[in-house]
Amino acid sequence: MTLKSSLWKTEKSRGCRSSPALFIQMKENAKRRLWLFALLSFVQMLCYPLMTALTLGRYGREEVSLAVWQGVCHDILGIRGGPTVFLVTTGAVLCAAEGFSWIYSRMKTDMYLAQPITACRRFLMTYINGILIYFIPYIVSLCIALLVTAGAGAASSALFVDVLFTLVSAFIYFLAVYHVTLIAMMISGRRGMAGFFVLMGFLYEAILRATLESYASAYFSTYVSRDATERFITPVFRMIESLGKSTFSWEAGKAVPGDILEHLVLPMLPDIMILLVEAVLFGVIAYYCYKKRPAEAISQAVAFPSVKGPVKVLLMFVSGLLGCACFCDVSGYDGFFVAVPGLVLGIGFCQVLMEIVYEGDMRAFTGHKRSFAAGAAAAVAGYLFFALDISGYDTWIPAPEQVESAAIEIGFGNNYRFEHVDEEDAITWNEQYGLETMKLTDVSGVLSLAKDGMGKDAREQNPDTRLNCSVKYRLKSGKEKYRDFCIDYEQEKTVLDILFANEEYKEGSNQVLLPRMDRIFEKSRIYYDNGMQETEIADKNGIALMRAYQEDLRKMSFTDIKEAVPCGVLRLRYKTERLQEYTLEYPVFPTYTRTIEYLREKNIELYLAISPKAVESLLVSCYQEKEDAEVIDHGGFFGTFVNTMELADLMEKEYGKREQIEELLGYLYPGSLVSWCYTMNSFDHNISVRAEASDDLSAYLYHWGDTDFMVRKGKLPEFVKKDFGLSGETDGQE
Amino acid sequence: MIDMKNVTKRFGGITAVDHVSVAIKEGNVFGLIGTNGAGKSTVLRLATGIYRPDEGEIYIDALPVYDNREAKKRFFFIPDEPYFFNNADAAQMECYYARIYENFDSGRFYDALEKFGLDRKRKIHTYSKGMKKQLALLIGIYAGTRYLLCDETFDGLDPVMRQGIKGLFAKTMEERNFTPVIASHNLRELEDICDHVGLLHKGGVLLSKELEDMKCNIQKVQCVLKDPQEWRTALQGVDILQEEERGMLHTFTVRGSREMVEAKFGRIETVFFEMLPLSLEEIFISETEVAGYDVKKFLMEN
Repeated sequence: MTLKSSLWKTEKSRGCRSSPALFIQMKENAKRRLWLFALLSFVQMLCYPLMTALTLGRYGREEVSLAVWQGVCHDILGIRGGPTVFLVTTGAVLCAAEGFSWIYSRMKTDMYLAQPITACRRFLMTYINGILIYFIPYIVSLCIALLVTAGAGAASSALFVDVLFTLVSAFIYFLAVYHVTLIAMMISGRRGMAGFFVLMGFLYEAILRATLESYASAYFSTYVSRDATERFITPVFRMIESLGKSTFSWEAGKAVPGDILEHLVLPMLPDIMILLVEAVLFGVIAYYCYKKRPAEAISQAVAFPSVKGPVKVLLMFVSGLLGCACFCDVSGYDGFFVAVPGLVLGIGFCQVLMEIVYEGDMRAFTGHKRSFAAGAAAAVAGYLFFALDISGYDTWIPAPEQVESAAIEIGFGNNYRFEHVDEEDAITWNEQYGLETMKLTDVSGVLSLAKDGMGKDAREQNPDTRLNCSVKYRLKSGKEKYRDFCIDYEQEKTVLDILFANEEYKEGSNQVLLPRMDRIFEKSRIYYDNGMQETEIADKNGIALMRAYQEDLRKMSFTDIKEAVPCGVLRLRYKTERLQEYTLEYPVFPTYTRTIEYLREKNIELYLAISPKAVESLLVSCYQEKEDAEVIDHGGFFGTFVNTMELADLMEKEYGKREQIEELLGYLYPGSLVSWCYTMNSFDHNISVRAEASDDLSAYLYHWGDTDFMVRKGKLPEFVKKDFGLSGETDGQE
Repeated sequence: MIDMKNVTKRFGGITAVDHVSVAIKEGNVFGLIGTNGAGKSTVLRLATGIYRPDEGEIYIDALPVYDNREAKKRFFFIPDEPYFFNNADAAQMECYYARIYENFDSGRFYDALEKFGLDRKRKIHTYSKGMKKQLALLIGIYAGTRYLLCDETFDGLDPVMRQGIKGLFAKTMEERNFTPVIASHNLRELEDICDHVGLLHKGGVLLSKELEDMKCNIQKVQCVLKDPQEWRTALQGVDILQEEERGMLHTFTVRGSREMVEAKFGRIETVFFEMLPLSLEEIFISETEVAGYDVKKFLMEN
């Protein structure tokens, strides 16, 4: 008999009910699952059509354009939106659990397994019904929701494409979650254990990764969390991760189908395809487990005794490491004598718990010594791997011949460098940009810095001259490795100068040098801000100015700018094709002679010059650290955070005399420009000055109320030093 | 024929069924009796393909039973606790089973429901335990299968209903090829129904015989002996399963035909001699005692 004829064989003996056999069996099965169908229908009607109708109902009542409400529809109905992934996850678990829960009941297994229905057929009908129970109401809800959007005039081809893609990805994701749940159910003998295995299937990988990550952060000083961004295997986190890759934003205006394809489908497609492969693989495993599952597994904890050991070992590994981490974290000390008791406690706890759960007997906690030994050995090995740095992670520097290219991001603190213009001219914040785009073929500088910096304790380095470096090595083997370390820029001046002179470094770390930025320059209105006053550069010839700026930037050496303070900032304002406004800012340093020359030609006021008449008074605040300042430095396994508390006295004095104001103004530097400096070592961070403005000062201000100033180290008028009891050099004003 | 060949089933370290070989022939009412934990339910679950045997083979009409649809079409299994769908009534259960068993006789099923006083539209969860068992039996009988395997199904049925079901069994067996297999502790009930008995003990089959043969092959003798010591020598070679002495009255349970026993006891001088009919329960106790299961001792200790 062919498969087709077997599946669609008509029921001979009941002519009035002549229907395909599988279909009849599915119908019978579905009858008993109507409650779930009703529940899912209700929830999905609530979450899709009703939510869409209510949202679109706001259009017309609120002063927001229809395009915005269309965008909100993308959020409601699309895969990136609120309810979909949550509903699919919950629905898949419910459909699997409800459909196959009979395997935990002796009464039901006695009934079903004795019937003349093959195991394959029974699986098939329950399995297909589980999918249909979720997807029939889902598809109907989506259709109604699309009709609602059409009725409100908010339907678009982009929304249709989004919904279509959502439906396909939701189906694949549903299958993956459904199959993981089925595997968990098939290997467990009781409902409680099935729930435990489902949670383990969803969360174990994430917990394991987080644990290993916390250990790497705690024990490896050069560890970079980017190393942990490898793709998740288990479906839930892979889907969440995949959603994060989508760059689709309806806020950019009315979307077209091309946007969905480019920003949603293409970024997510690789993950969806992998999810599909996983879904198939998990499905095969689930069916295999179903076929092999013995009926007598009912009431046992685990259906397959051979699963018990590996599960315990996996849990004991994490439990031991977490126990150790807890002890170290609470005690604030990660030494051997604290770590070992934590490790032992974690291992012991897991052993006792798992054996009691497996055997259902409190007295069974010492059982299965081989799996206990294996789990304990795994946990101890895991701890030693990190504590003793067995892999040599912290000292690893690749041989030059191993490296195809490298990238380095030096943490100067001037965070504007993380703002990058994307393909659509929108500005995005991307701390990885430099590391991802820079490709230094001459890696000698990077390796030299790594050699000097790696293995050194950052806390022992001079905080005034310390710089954080992130390095990415692209190895010839195809692997990518990241490391973090600190360097002392005074000691590395020569290497840094060589690095700064490298064109690949310049272009990798300064997007402004790339040719593609020309189109931004051409359409921008360019302003110069000297820290207090913003002036538009009259002729709007952005290209000429920015060419000068690019030339200065290319000539810039590390020595030039290491302790330089910018005289102002170039501000480029432009609009994208979607009419969104963006602002780019670039600092101008005194060494940028061509730029300065250009600005001077345009009679731009380069430096801050405030008339003393515009200032009523100046309030000088001085934080004086106590000698016995208390510092709490707390670095933990769980979310490494450093809480430094310094006890300091605040002294304030207001200067209102005209001659004092005149002299003091010559020392001040606008606080708004400080963040553009490459190093923060030039300023005295304990002193700040606030100007009480007369009405005239308002005319100078770019930001109303932005009247905070900084002073350079040791550079204060004598009368101020005297008033605050400060000593040090008394350089004249800049 | 249901043919179990050298079947073994283990649950962890426990051997529930140990190399059992039973042949259940068609046209009989087969009673499967055994001590607690003897493996009666396990044997039935193995025979119905619910459990997969660790060793041995099970065939129904020469078809291997495990996950074999064709083999499973030939029997209906009523477990000790039959399951009915939540909120279902008898009619809904009929509808369900009628789609699974091709030869389900719905008309006669409804007739039988009426005769047994079961309301087809009443929710089954409102039925008593006995009513549920009656319903399960009626479904099983009218499913149209060759074999009906029942696990402790007659427990909880009142005598009138039991007689009714027996009648149905008899009628169905007359009409078509129908073989009920009944596992039970209730030996008195099985005695009335069964033609063939399989006696399970500690996972193994102690005996499997026609009930009549079994009764014929074990005799119970009550006698008063003239010389109480004489019988030991005179009855040498006789397989005495049990011997009890109450004052002058001796009771012997002896394996052998009626004629052979009469001949053997004829050699002894007796004041009083009588051959008593042996109940199935007595056969059961005798056979299990021989196998080391001392029921009386067990009862006294508890």
